[in-house]
Amino acid sequence: MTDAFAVLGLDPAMNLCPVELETRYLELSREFHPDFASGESADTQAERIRRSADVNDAYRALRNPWVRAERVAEVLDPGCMERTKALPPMFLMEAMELAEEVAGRSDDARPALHAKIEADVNDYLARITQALEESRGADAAVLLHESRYFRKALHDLDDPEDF
Amino acid sequence: MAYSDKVLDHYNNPRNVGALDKDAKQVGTGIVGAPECGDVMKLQIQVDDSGKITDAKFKTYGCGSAIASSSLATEWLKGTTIDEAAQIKNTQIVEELSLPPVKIHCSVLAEDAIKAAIDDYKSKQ
Repeated sequence: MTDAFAVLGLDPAMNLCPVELETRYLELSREFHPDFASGESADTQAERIRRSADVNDAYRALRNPWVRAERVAEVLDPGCMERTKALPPMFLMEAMELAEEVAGRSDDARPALHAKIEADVNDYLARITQALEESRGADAAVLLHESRYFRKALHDLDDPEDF
Repeated sequence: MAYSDKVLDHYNNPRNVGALDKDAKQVGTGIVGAPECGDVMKLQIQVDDSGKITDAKFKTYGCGSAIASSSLATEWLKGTTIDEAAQIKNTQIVEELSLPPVKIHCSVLAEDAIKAAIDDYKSKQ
């Protein structure tokens, strides 16, 4: 995985300034834009296209707070996302109960359940942000993995036909 | 994405959906998850005194391939011994269901669930 922060020349941080991210993205997009490649050698043109694609990927990744959190965690503690993937059975039982609740809910119950899960998701993001600010990469990685089940539940609640 | 007929069959008519008593001594429960997609799978086996699996149940919240992988796994588990069950590989599930590369992790989840269920059963003996 390329370091999205390095690609954009930004310090790895959760509280990235959106304006700074946008500015860096636009500057680098101009710099590497394939349209300005006429007259360059084939190798330079290929390099330009590659850099341009990296810039696009990095921008897309860092704009999303969940992906940004994953990337910061990886900078703090390389390999932590993969290492913390197996969650304890107790947590998975809860995740299954949540999925059951989402699948079995009535239409009337939907708004309240949505609000409840959304609050949980927001709480996860706050705890992840705090862990990253305190340089606890592995803790953030565990919370990121756990939050995935809640984000999925929210998604399934809004879009139950997704196969 | 195009699912194979076998995946669709298991998805539409999942075999052995349900639960066994997780506190029973003869029952092993495996629960595993895939944080990449938020899928969670519970697989249970009931084992008799000779080490033969007499019943298997599953419950999976996930995509069609995850449901099909666990449904197929329960079919294969019934009637085998726990030693044979431990030999089941995700690649056999991939082959049987013609899973595409992006869905291989679903079969890995099923293999992990089988192993977790066997471990749980053994820890109770």
